[in-house]
Amino acid sequence: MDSLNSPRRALAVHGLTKTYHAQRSWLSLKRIEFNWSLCARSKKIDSARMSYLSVVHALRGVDLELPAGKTLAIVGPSGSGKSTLARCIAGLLQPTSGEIWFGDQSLLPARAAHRYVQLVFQDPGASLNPRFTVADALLEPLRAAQSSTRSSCFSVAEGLQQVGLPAALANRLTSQLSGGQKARLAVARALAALDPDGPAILILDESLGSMDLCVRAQMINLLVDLQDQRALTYILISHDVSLAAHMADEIAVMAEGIIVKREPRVSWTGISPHV
Amino acid sequence: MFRRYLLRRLVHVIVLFAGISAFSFVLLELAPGDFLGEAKLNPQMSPATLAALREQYGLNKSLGQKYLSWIGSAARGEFGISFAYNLPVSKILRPRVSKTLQLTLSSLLLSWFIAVPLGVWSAAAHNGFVDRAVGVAISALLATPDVVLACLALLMAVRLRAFHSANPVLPVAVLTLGALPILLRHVRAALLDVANQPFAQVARANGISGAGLWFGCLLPAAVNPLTSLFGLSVAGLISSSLLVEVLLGWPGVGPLFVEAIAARDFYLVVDSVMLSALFLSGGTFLADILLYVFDPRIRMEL
Repeated sequence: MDSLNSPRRALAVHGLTKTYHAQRSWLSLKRIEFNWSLCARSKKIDSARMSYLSVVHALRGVDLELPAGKTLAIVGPSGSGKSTLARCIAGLLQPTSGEIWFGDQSLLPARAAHRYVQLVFQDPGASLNPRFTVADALLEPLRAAQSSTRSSCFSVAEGLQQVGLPAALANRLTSQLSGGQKARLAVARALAALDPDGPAILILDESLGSMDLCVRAQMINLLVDLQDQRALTYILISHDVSLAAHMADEIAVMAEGIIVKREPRVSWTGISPHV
Repeated sequence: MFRRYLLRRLVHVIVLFAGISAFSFVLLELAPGDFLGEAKLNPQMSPATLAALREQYGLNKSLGQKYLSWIGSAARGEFGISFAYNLPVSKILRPRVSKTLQLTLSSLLLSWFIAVPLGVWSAAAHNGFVDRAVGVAISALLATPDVVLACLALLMAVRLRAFHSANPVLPVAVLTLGALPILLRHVRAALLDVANQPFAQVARANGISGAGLWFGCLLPAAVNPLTSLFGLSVAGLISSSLLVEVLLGWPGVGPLFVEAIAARDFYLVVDSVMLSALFLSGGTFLADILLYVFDPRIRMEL
């Protein structure tokens, strides 16, 4: 609880970049080089510029600081690098350069990131292994960590109850759940993987986008309650500015791989939703 | 529920067998000539002898009568009499089948034991050196007809003088090389399919990696199409080695089948076809059982 009140830094990201090399066959690469060399002759593009343009720059130096227990919404158009940023922070992608700090601990290389940062995917249903029972899905991260002490004191029933699911679901297959139940289970699984005592970050990558209004409202209330109980820090990635304005303490706007604007929520209310 | 499934399956098999046997009877009847076609041209055979032989072999009977007598003989465990060998077909087929199974079972096991780990490795090293090398090898093997492989094996046997004709190494190698590229491709594709699913990313994000990820999480998730494929390779246990057996002189079902067709040895052909059908339905049945064992979703449904 005390981390809520203290302005302690939960996450710091410095100069994060991520580039992808366009995966093409050898022949087409040759062709591109040839075209570029023609361009270079006619438009006087130097070789540094050429090599810059031949790769995709998903993130171009993101700096971000986030106080513990707060919610940051990241909005921006498709392809602006929101999801790439989320995946880098969650340890799913290895950034090309830059630093990610959780408190005073570096999250790079990303092996230990999953204990502090968890990502709830865009489609919660697809992020659950359809062969797993609900209990399996909750225990997977603990089994992976092979920490028998943690898994023995973790109770599936408690984990389910935390997100408002009945304990009787534990032996159902995840593919048998309804959409809303899957969404709750995805959150429960993320919580189960996080360090139960310390501060932690939950990234919601468009996780609320695919739900109907009723389920979404339930999920928002659930998330807000959980934030109070467990001192969680949220990063909310969304197209939906009205949702961001409702949940977030701060809103950051991303475009073309950098954060172009970052403001507290107050200045955003009153702006028409769905930018 | 499972019992009802078994019952439905049994009905399927009975209908399938009835259909295939009737179909092969009709087709063989429509084919020109019969077993005595060559004897007819022999000037030393008197028409009376021929007629007596026709009577003895039951070649004068109508198709329906033949079919019924075949079913009766099947009930006695004989499955008709071979004209050429003058023996019950079951007695002729049994040693041949065991010879063929020696070949096909070992190549089945070998090809799956190579295909699964190599396919996993290839998928795990997606677009890496191993993957590229495996891809090139697959393409080369796919483009090589089995006949060419078998001829190469023959050439090797002749040059090296190391392989006796009863040595199964060469035919097994040819069969395995023939089956391997298709299996490898399927294993690799099925794994790559699940490797990019969000739940696989979640597993990775939770720190599962390496063999635990590929064999513990991704392979079980990709197992359904592979199980069906395994059923198909079981289905081909009798029929897949025909060409290789004939070319490499392996005394299995293959050469017998070819001889029987050429000689119009009616019941021998029918029974070989029925045997393939038996393995086909057995293979699909096995695949269904394995799916039931492997996939909790199907278990819950039934």
